[in-house]
Amino acid sequence: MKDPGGDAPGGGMPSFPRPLPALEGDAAPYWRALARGAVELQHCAACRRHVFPPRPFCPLCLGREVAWQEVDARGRVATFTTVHRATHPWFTGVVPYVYALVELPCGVRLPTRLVDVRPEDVCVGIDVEPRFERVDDAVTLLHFAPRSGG
Amino acid sequence: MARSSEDAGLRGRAAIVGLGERRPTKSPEGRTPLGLVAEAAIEALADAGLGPADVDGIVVCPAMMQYSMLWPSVVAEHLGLSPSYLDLVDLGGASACAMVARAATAVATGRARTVLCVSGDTWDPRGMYLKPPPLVSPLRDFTIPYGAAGANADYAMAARLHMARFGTTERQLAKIVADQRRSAQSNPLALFHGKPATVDDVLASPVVADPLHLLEIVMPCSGAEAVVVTTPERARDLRHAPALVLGFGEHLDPDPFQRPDLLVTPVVESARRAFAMAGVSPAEVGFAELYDCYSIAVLIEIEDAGFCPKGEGGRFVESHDLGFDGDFPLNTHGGMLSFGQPGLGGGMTLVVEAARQAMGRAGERQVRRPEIGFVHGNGGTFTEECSLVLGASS
Ligand SMILES: [Zn+2]
Repeated sequence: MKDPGGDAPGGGMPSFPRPLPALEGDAAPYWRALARGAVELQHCAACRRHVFPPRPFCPLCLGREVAWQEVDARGRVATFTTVHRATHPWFTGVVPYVYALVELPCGVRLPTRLVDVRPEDVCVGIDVEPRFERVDDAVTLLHFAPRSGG
Repeated sequence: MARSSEDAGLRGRAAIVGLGERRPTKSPEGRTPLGLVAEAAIEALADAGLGPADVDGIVVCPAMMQYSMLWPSVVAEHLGLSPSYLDLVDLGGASACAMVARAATAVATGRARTVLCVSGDTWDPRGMYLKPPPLVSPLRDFTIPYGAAGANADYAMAARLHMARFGTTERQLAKIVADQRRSAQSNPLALFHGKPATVDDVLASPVVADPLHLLEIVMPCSGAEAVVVTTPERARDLRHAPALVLGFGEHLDPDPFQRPDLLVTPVVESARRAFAMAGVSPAEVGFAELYDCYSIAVLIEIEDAGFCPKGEGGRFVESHDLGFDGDFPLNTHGGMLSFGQPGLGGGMTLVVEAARQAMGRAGERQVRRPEIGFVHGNGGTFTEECSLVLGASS
C-alpha cells in the first residue's frame, strides 16, 4: 500500500491514508495500462485463458508464455454489496458505496467499485463499463458504472 | 481416487479426551494471547486427567494480536512441555479442524501419543489498524483499494448472489442467527448469553454490508480453547468417554473470485473427504458445528457439505429447527455468532462443543443423537476448508 498524501474524505482519521496498490511488481503493467485508460491482462496462449491477479506464469499450466494484451472491459455485475459500515477507516467518508465483482467477456472477474449509480438501481447481471479514476500521476483505479444506453 | 484408500487407516484411530475453554471477553482484560493459550491448555489437560509429562505433541495456530515466529516452540516452552512432535497450522478459520486432523494423524501413525491442540487470541480493533498482522497476498492490491478490507464485503456478495439466483431471503439467513442465539441461552459462557434475539431483532440490526446485518456477522473477542488428542486405547484409561475422530478432509481453492461457480466452494471436497474417511453420509449426522463467521457461511456450508442440494439452503434452515433440541441441531452452544470468535483459532470453540456433545457432556443442551457429529472450519472467503467427523465412543 502506498500513501498518496491525501486525508480521508469526510474529515475522518487523517492518520489512515487512502489504501492504494503497490505499483511495482508483477502487476506493474496492469496499473500502467490503467493510467493510460486501458485494461490489460496477461493471456496464456496454451490454455487460451487470461491470468488474474497478474503473475509471471499461468496458474493453470505453470507456463511462462503469458503476454499482456488489452481486453474488452465492458462487463456485467456478477455480484455486489452496498457497504454501509467501512472496514477500512479511509472509507468511512465514502459509505454507502457499492463494491462489486464484475465479469469481463474474457471470463476474468475483477473486484471493483460501482460509481455513478444509486445502490438501489444495481442488480446482479446488469451491464457495466469502465470508469477510470485518476487518483494521482501514478495511480489510476478501475471503477465501473452502468452501461450508457442500457 | 479409490474410495477404499480414503480412510488411509485413520478412521477412529484418535480420540479427544480433554477440553479447555475460556470464557470469551470483548476486551483483552489485561491478558495476552500466550497467557490465554496457557489457561486453555492447563484446563484441557486437567480435564483429561493428564499432566505435562504425558504430552508429547503440540499443535498451535497463530494469534493475530501476538503474531510470532517460532510460535509452537514459544507455547511449548511457556507450558514447560518437551514434545517430540510440534506443528503450526495457519489456515485461518480452517485452522482448528486442521489442527485436530494433524494431531489425529500423529497419534494414529505413532508420531506422538498425546497431542495438545490449543488456540487463543485477544481482540483489540485499534491494534488491527495500527499493527495489522502480516499477510502477503497479491489479490489484496485489487480489493482493499476498492473498499474491501476484511471479509464483510466478500461474504455479503455471496449472500447477494445466493438471494438473486435461488430466491434465498433475509429472513432465512436471520433464522440461522436466531436459532443459534436460542441455543446460546443454555451456554453461560457465550458472549450473548442472556441476550436472546429473534429473526426480527436480527433484521432490525444495522445493515453493515447489504444484505448482511450486524447480528449476522461474528463478533471477534478474546478467548482460548484446547483439546487433548490421544489414541483410543489410551483413552480407555482416562476419566471421560472420549469423542472419536472418525474422519477429516481438507481442501483449498486458489481463487474465490475466479472459481467456475462462485457459490460452489471447496467445502464440497473437504466434506466429501471427511465423510469418506469416516464411512458415513451426511444423512447419518446427528448434529453439526459449522463455521459461522457470517450467516451466509453457514448456509453455504450446509449445502456444500451435502446436508441439502445447492440452492435449497434457505428452505432447509427455514423448515428445520436448528436449536440443540431441534431436528437439525446446529452450532449447539450458540456458534461463534453467539459465543464470540477468539481469533484465527476461533473455530476451536466449535470443535470443543462437538467433542462435548459426542462425549455426552453437554448437560442441558445435550443433543438427542450425539453418535455422529460434523464440524467444519472455513478460512478466507471459502478459500481453505477443513471438515471433521467426530463420533461418540459408546
Ligand atoms: Zn496456461
